[in-house]
Amino acid sequence: MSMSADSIISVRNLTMRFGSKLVHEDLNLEVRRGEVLAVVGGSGCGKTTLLRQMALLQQPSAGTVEILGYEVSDLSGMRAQKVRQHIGVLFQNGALFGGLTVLENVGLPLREHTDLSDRLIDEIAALKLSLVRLQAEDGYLYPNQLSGGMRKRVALARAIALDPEVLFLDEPTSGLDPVSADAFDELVLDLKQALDPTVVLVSHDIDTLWRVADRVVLLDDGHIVADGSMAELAGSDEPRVVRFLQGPRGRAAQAAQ
Amino acid sequence: MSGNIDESPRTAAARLQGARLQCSGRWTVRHLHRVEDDLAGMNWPQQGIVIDLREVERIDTGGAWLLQRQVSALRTAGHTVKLQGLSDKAAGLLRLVTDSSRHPLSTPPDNPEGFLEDLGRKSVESVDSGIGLLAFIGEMGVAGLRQLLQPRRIRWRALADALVEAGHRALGIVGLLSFLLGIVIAYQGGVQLRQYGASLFIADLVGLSMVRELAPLITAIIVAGRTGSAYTAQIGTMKVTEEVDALRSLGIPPMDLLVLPKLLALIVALPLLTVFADIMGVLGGMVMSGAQLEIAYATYIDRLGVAVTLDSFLVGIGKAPVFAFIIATIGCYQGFRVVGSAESVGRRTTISVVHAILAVIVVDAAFSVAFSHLGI
Repeated sequence: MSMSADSIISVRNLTMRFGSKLVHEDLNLEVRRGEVLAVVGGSGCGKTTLLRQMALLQQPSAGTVEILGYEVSDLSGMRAQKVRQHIGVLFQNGALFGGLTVLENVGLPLREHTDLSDRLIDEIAALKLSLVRLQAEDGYLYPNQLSGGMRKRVALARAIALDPEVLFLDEPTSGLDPVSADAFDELVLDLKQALDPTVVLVSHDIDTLWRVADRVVLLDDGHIVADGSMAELAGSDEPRVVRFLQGPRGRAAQAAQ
Repeated sequence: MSGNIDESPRTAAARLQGARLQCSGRWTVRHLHRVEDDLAGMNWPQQGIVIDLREVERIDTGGAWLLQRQVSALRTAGHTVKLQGLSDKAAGLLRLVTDSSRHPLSTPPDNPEGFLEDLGRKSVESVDSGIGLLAFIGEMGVAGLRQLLQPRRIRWRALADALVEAGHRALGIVGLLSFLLGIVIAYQGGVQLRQYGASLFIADLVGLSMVRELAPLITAIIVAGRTGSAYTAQIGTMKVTEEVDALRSLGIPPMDLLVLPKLLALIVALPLLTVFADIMGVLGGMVMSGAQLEIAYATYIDRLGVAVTLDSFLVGIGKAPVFAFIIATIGCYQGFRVVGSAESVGRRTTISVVHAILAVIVVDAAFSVAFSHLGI
């Protein structure tokens, strides 16, 4: 195993093609254990695709993804199933199961992968709900009765149901109002402190990047063009970084720090 | 690194020795089930209890919760409990779950539903659904009239697409099934007719039963399963993803774009498919009569011309537009009744197919009674 000691995911020589469109070209990335890594870039640069590949949801055209010490080449194989129990994914629109209540949504991974009693599963699910600051009585609602912000919280509670070692967040604050977005950032930081997962997130939200991310990689044109902390990126004079971070929005977010 | 996902981990365990509870192994959700049962069945001594966690390899929120639950149950029962050998991480998690457990799990809002209440609710729902269907037909009529008065509002493109989908693409399955049906009827009937030396009348049997009854019915049933369900699923999914609302807000009545082209296309396509089914069914009968009863194809066709009158043919074809109206209306109506989730799309699609087939068969029976009274 050629991974360096402290990396938990390593992406090597990854190439991704959709038809004739090249999304990633020979991309290399190491995610260190315990860090909060943000993947950023313009729309359509393949951020979400990269996240899906790391989360074992999509097969790259070429190259390998090694996660938690396993190189998974067969996404439907037993090994992938096993590794997936140790990763949690927050999907952009929540992807809650409409036919299940909130509590059942959160308890589903526990019901599937453990032999615990129903009572204990419900209690653990309620505990996760309170960790994402939802009330216990919200547990009996159905997803279509929830607001967008609540739906994201429930999805986050489901993603952490099994106390994953790696947590993937796809656009965690998109579609939230600024107050809810701030609260969600805070929540991610609190969970990070409480459960200490490695977090990989994709975001457009420059405020989120400043507040949450330890390290930021900027994707452009299929390559990683910048890699460092937000402060380092903000001081960079690489034109693509400047364009992304130092527009009016980026400067406002920086000033707010 | 591979220590992350241990192949043979030590499951969590807890042994009670005197007043000391010895905990060991992995207190993580995947390995907790045994210890959950063990803890529940323990006979706790009266003196102060010490819980020793030194041999716990790893603990997660699930494990911490189980521990906390046990500790607080013991304390409530009047025991004194001391925790020993708590790692920093475990202490942090215990604090976390203790804070959270101040909001206890509320009991589900129980609504015991008596038989009468259930019956009442279902009746109201059925009546609602019936009234909704009538309103939908009314709306459809109004939108249809508006289009007739302003023919340039007709969505020709959507109509053509729907025609290809409901008509042309269904040819294969309709043709195959009615051909097979013709074979079955000829085979079953032929055995009987031969006993009376009336083999030639196989053409009457196959021709009349196919053309009058079976071809329109089997075509309608296939189309209800194939196209009616597709209508419900498409409109339903568009409702879930708010595409229907988007159309409305863009000033395009969903009725005009989603319903009328489908309805019109099916009213045109179903009679044509029925004619095709007639031909294929009769052909199937012909092949089987040739093989089993040794009736020459020419003889069969001659006899067919005498047996199947224009009236019989028109009776069969005439039912098809009515069936088409039923299938398209129920399919679209159920699509608009989808609320919320993917599950609802599935439920409505099932209802749409079941109702459409049921309605087609009931209406077919009504036609039979009416025609026999009229002497056609």
